[in-house]
Amino acid sequence: MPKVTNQKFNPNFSKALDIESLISAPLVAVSKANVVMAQGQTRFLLEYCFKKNGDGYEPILIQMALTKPVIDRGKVAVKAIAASAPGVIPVVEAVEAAPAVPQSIQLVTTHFSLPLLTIVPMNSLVVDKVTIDFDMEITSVASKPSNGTNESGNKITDRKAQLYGKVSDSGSNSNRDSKNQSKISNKVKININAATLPLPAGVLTIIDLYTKSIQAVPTENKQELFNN
Amino acid sequence: MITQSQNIPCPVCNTGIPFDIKQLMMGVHFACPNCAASVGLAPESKELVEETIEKLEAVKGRISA
Repeated sequence: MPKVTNQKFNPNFSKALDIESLISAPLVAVSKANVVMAQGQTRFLLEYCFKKNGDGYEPILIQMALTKPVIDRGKVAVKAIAASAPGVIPVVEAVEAAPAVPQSIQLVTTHFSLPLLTIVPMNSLVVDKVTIDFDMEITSVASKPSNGTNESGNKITDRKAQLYGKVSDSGSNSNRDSKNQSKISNKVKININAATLPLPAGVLTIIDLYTKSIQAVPTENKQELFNN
Repeated sequence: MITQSQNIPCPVCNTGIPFDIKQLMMGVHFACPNCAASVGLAPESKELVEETIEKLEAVKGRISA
């Protein structure tokens, strides 16, 4: 087994890059991390939430319990038997009664199947928020010609500014401040905030499809549903 | 306390029932905010859900490592 030793990371901050590349680099890294997580998410879904059935996949189902109070018109909850002597607690027992007897409320538990996929918190497998702060020192400013046309179709040539810079060590600010005040104007503070997007529409559609499948269908509509 | 914004549609009235997966695994039943129905995990599926959530945590751990 090869021996792995910690290598010292010495980033080269001296090389100047254009400002677009410097700002986009952390966001590209986050995006790539999200791709890795999306792949892991897909693999997880196929591996643990579906089982292979021939050429296709079918969802793994779990059993859920639905409890609901219902009014039972055919039974009575209790029937009291009168006490024979004063001070004796009357005995109460549940019995079957004739349909004309008053109603009772009973808790009915129904079991139904639900795809496992619908209760797994998949959203947690993405980078939800990124905050990147760094100082950038502008090393050079260039301009390049940019051609375009205005509303009347005349050609316009103007020059666009291009900034080049490098990541600056914020700790060196105080030293430089005392030596040369003009250096402060070369620095810009970059603050990048990025937030996550919801699950892809395809995955949401699959989850929605399966969650809707638990809705009860009245028997008279059942045949229509299959005919369609 | 429900910490996750996960919902399951009520099989009776189709209103979203907010639930937390950890509490669901512990046997908590979640009541529909619209009707009197409550939904919980059946005991026979508890093991399967627990295993899957453990595997999900392991995948998350591998990715963040």
